[in-house]
Amino acid sequence: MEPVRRIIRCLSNIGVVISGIAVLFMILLITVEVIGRRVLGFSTLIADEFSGYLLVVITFMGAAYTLRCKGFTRMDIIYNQFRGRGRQAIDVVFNLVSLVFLLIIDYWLWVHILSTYRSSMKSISILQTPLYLPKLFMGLGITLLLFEVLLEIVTLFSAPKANPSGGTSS
Amino acid sequence: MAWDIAFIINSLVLLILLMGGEWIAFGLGAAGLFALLIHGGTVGFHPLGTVMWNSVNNFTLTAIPLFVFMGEMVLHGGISQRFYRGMGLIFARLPGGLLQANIVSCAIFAAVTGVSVATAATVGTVAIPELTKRGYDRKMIFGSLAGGGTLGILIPPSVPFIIYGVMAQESITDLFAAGIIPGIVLSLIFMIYIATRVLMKPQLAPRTHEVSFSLREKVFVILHTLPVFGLIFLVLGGIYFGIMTPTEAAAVGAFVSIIMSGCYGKLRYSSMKTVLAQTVKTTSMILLIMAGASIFSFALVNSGINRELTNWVVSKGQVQVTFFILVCFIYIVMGCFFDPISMVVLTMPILYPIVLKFGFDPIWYGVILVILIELGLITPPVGFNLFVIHGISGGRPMGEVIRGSVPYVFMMLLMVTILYFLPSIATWLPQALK
Repeated sequence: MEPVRRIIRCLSNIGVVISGIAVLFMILLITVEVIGRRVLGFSTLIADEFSGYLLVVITFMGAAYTLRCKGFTRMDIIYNQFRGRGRQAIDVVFNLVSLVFLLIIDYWLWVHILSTYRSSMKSISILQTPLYLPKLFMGLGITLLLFEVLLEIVTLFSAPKANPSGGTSS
Repeated sequence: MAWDIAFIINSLVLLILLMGGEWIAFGLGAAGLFALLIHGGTVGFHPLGTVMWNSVNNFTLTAIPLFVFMGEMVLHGGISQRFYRGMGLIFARLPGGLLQANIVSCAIFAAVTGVSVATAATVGTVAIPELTKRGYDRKMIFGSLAGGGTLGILIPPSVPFIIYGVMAQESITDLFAAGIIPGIVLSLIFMIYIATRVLMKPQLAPRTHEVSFSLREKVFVILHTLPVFGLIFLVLGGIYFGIMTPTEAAAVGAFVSIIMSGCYGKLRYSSMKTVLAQTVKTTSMILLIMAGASIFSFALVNSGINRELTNWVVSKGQVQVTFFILVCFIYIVMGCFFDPISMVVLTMPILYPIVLKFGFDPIWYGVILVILIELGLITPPVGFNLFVIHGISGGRPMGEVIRGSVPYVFMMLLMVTILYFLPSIATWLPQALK
């Protein structure tokens, strides 16, 4: 199990590095566009379109890392009342809900990406970007997220049995 | 299935998922899938790819990571500490001294960050040790920071305004302008409250530990506030002089914040790594909540629930004011449990069509919405700003932070009431700037 865990963690880390680079690239691209348009009298003509793609990259490629760092928000007022087995049961149930949700989303995303690829759909801009390319990051990101949730579930099942009096026994 | 039964079932599913502790982004999406499933089977799943793509691939939304990055850079780039010292010096003579500096610093930092938590953390990290050392009342310190921090999402730039603007298809520039005067008025209300409390009970803000500076030192310290004012002028000036769109202003602001951090000698690999990781985490969290909400919203529209619900509410003949009070009540209750972004995306598909039917101005409503969700930041048990301030309070009890923040809840409700009776406070500036 450990090598699989390491591979998934490594992929999540690669995802967040790609997202971080996308943030910097976005800053640079839009700044160049503004300076170019306002000072030098030229436009990149791609800043609007490309920034949208970069946002997709940041959002989806960083999702697995965000989940791992507990960066998503949840309403934990009831959740926090549970300890030990109760907490473990809730974690299992909601991770399974997340898994089913992500499986459905991932399936339909890949169907969508494949159909975009098959129909050779391109953006209507000067770039004529094949749209399956930026959409690919959406599929990859959700697949990575799916792996993280799977890992979470496996970890929960392989964790030591919870102590009924609260807390997990070591 | 009748729309009302479908609505009740879908609401129950969403409530169970969210109350149980499911991640909000996944809970919203899962409830949306369930709604699609009971309405028309898996056929409703076919457009999911397009729905997800359209919810994120949006140039206006790219302002979110850029403003978050700028705020984080200000926090980690050594800019905030110097700025707060200067503010402290300028406002030291007012009743309440550094407590007033807290409010003004929060209001000004609100103009360089789009997130309240970042505002409270930025000012709080510097202010709490300083004010504690000088013997200020702790409840007053925590209250001024938690309350002042909420200004972060009212005074532009503001991430909730961007999200509201995108969902309601309203101009972000107008929304940003609409937030300025209510933000200043709210800051003044906070400052008047502090001054009154301190005048009545001077030991809340003792002046015994004032540090004296020579004129040269004063000038030097105050000069350090200029870069932040420069950044604000660049971002807001860029937008309102028509030079840049909000997204472009965010990018240029982020770029300049990197240069400023470099000038302060704080641009290191480690701090850049932290800033980028935080930006990615916040962006991914917000945008995936939006993607989940877009699935939920798509399901509601697809099944016709929101249309039927709107017609039903309006047919009941409720007067505007009753509906307005109901909306306030909903947000106050939700604010006890949800974070601001979730509150916006959760309620927009259901409430927004009704708001329009009742004839409310969408820009004005955006400001009301943001103040109401600000309230949620300082109402227990899930007040994000309370947690942030508690986290940097040096181990003080949470009760102290909550008690200090309670007056600010009432001041915000006062602001909502003022805006209800004087809507032009919000709507005048966007009109005047056109």
